[in-house]
Amino acid sequence: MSDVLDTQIKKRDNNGFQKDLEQKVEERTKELEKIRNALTNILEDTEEARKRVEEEKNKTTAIIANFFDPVIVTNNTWQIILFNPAAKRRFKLSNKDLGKKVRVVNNNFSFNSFKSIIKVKHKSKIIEKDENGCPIIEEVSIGALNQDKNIEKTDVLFYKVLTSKVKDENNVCLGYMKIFYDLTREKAIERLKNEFVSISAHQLRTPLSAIKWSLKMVLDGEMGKINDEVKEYLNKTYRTNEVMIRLVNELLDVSHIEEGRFLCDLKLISIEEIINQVIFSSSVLARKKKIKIIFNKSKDVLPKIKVDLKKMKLAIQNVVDNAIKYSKANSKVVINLKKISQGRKEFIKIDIEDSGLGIEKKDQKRIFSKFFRSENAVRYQAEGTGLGLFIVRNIINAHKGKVWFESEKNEGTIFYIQLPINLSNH
Amino acid sequence: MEDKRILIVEDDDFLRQLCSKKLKQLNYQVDMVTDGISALKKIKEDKPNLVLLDVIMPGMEGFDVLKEIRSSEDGEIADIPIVMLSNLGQESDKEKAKKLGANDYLVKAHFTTNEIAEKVEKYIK
Repeated sequence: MSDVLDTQIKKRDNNGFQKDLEQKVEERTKELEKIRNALTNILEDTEEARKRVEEEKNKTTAIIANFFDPVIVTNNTWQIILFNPAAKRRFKLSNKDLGKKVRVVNNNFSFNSFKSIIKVKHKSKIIEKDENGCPIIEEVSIGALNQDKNIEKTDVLFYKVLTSKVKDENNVCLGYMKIFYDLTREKAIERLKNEFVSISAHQLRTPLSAIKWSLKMVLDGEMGKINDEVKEYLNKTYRTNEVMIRLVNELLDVSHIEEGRFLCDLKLISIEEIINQVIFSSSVLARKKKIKIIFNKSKDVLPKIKVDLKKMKLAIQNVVDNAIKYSKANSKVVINLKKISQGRKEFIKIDIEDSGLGIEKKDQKRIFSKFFRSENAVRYQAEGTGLGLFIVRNIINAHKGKVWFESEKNEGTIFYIQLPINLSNH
Repeated sequence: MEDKRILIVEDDDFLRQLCSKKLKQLNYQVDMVTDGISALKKIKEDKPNLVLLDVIMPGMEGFDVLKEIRSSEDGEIADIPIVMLSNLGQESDKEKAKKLGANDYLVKAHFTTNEIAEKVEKYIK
């Protein structure tokens, strides 16, 4: 009996063991399936990622190829490795030019490095450099190809050239890319706009002169006697006309400045001498308001610097006139002139300080904008065109200098002008 | 001042009239033309003692008239004092005028007829 029981027990145990085993196998199989599915997913993801990279590469190549503007790419040893059809057309490149080395000295990869390879007449100018002295932005003008029908007035094309480093994900430099943005159309429009302003301003001078001449003759009694009331009205009319004449002058100054970024008449001139002339010109205005102009020049003899005399005088005059204009009567305007050094560079620094109206914080950002006049300035003195400081900044920048200011409402303003000594970039 | 002839070359009616009135008040004889070609003709005929010459005119421009006068074979004509009246105020324009032989250069909107009269008195032969 116990044998039967034993066997039965054994059978039962065997069954349990078997079931256990089966269960374990099932679980294992399920696990393996999960792993297999996971691996399949990983494989699919990898395949998709690879496809995406391939797509991106094709997209990028397609973009560069279809880019309307020329693009040239070099590797990090200055060999040309890629250029698009636009570059091929514009610069007359061929597949033979691939692999050619561009001449780069001192990491200065400017457009000039292409001189031997690009077979069209060109001129270039560096606008901005990075910390290492490599050009980032340049302006290039290129003689046109004969087949190009898009050129209207002149046969020169203008480009803004942007240079950027091509890096991999570890920031290692793989090469350089130059993109040529076509500015020709913009330049043509700018030229037309400038011509328009210039012509209009000149045309306006004729009627303005006629009004000026005739009013003066009436006011001088040459058309017969006039009573005081009439005289007063006509005086106001005359002064209003003078405001218009000044506005036309300033518009012409602006258009003249914008039409040529290059200064015309550069000569070695003493800034001290210019400031003396400016003070002399402003003396009438200053005397009327009983304002004292104090000129502190540094004891050392300051070197002459290369400037456009007429424009620099205009710039300094505008700042000094503002100081006088916006000061209360019986106050003073202080002008300081000295030489400063920053590292190896030397500069002439001019401070013009007043204790007048000041510029409110909310207006300070726009003070150099065209036609901008702050509210408190307009309230204080209705006359003013808002072009003075725009012209100043243009002139100082063209001389590669800097102009900035510090101001506190109702406390006064200090304008700073800094000009480099040794303008070797002109 | 008596019997001295001034030729005004200016295409704007009103400016011409104002200029003429001023000079006549000072007892000058005044003739007026409105363009360059008429000016050259009148100068050959009358040989004025001074010419007030506008720079921008339709047809022949002031600078060309100036060149023609200064290169005249007739010495008297070549030497006639010429004061230019202009809307162009750039240094380069003033220098161009001086180079071509103008005696002086006034920017219309910066002067009145008083200054014109002063210059006339200064240069007239």
